[in-house]
Amino acid sequence: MGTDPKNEEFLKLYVPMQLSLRSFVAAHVIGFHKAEDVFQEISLVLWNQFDRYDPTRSFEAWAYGVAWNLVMKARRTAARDKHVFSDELAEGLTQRFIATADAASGRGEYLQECMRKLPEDSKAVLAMKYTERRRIDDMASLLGRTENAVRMLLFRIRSALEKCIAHSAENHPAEELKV
Amino acid sequence: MIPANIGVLIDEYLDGSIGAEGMKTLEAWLKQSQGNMDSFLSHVDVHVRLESAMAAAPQLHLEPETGTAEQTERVSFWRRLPVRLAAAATLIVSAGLIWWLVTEKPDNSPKYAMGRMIKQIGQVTVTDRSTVEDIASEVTTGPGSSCRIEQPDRTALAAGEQTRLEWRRHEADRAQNLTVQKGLAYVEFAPQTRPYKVQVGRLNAEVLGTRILAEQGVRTALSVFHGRMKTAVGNSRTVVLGGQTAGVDGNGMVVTGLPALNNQYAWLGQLGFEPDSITKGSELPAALADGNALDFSMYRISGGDWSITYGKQGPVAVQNDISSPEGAALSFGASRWLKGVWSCKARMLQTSTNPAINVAFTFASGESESFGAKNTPPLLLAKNSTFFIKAYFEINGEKDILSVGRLELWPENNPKDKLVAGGWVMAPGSSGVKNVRGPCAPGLHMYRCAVELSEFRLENATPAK
Repeated sequence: MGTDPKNEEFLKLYVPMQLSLRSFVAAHVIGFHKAEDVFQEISLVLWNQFDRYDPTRSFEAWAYGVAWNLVMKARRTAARDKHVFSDELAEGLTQRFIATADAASGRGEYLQECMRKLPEDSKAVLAMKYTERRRIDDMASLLGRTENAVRMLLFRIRSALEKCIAHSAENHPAEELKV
Repeated sequence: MIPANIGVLIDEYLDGSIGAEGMKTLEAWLKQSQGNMDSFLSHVDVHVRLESAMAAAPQLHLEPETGTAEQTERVSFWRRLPVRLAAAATLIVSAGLIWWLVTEKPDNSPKYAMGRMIKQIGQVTVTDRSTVEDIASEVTTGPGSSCRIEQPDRTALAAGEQTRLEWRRHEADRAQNLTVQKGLAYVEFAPQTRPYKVQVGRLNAEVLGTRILAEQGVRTALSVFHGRMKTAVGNSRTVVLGGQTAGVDGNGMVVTGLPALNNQYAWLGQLGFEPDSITKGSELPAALADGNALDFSMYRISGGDWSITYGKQGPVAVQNDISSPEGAALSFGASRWLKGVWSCKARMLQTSTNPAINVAFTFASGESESFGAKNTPPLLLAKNSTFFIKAYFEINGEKDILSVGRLELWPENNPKDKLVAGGWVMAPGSSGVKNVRGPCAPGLHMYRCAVELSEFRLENATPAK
């Protein structure tokens, strides 16, 4: 682990793409916990098999290759309860993910800035969801809304952030976000 | 633009609650165009980044101080009036008894509600703070001043310079309380039938026939020289042994070995105590440094109800509280390690739904990060199972990245049946840790289980320079 040059190299390559890899998994595996399990397994395999990585090739391509195999394995398990997209769509999503990966990789730096521009009540809703990890029914009861309304609200907040990030990436920062 | 119904389905997809029909609808919409797929992927990406940016470290913080309890007390006053009247009657009898105890002494030292002034140096003020139910004295000392006060039962209290404290005795149930608001207080408690409750800042303790030093100033601490002291900070409770000091940091209670600085007790000599004998006989924990580089004379806890005993093989820590909602955390030694292999043995005493044991790393800021295998076999976490946990960790000082490359769990009776997880690489900003990590102290987080932990080891360790 760690300070030997090989592991330094691993960290240098792996850390910048960690969140994108998480997004890749989340797009294919339903639910936070299952996606986290798969992501954990991918990280472990990448770490353990870093010896096999050919440094003359793209690390991202190798990592997504490993990730795809493990995602497929998870999909086979999940297929029993029909909670997976079809193979055709999964492949389509993977192609689009890789095609847009470069543009997506720079988004993270704008997220904090865009979150600051959210109305206070939206920040509170995000905190319930992501920091306090409240269930939707719990949030619905606290916010006095239906579960669908809370889901819609979360969706709208994320969409507003998405737009803000896209604008910021094009050097047109939004002043204030409307949700 | 994503239609509203699809927005709801995407949210359900992300938290795993989407149904088969929802999947069909979502798939049909995604297949309509590349633009829909891009919107979906972009939305998932924002969700994942929010998960990462907003995820909190396990909440192992303290409860707020006692505001709520005080309010409840006020509300309930009138409801409890009959009880209080009875208490007042008891008080009259008890006050008479105390008056007799205090006044029958044939000396001329000043007498106060809570005892006799034995010695006074410099400016000392004792104010009667008695109420209908309680008798109480507030003691305040000025710069360079100190005093010694004794109760009829021979409990002796020394207040150091610039100290403010209150002694209070509730006459109805004979509960006794000492609150040190600032400064230094040394107390030799006489053997009693009921424990004395001591409060210093957020530290609460119950003591019975022991010697303690309470500090409330640069630090908040309670040192015990002899005997045992049940100590709590918020929901975290432990038993502090003679020869140890309990303190508070940003995230819970820190218990350390008593510093061997007898000169810090020199002021007590002027008040008739024997400073050299204060630490004598302290039951300092034995065999603390066990050759595996971890300093077991110091531990941090938060959440849970702990008891920690020290033996030749190092400490054994028992966490008895399965209900602690925020989990319970334990770590040994100061935050000084950059790399190592951290291991221990765990025995499940009691479990609730979805129990978990994670390895954890606590930083100087008091924040911590914990890691556990999500697919731990239920048998391993079942009641009475005994297993080992081992984690390979490293903190890259320059980049402040915490890596837990490998986490192993295996049952004691079948070492070959090993579960391997890991591969966590936590860059700055990718977890709930808000401050710079720096070196860590290894430890464990327990959720919804009562656990006995032993055989703690830190091997191949590299300390921070």
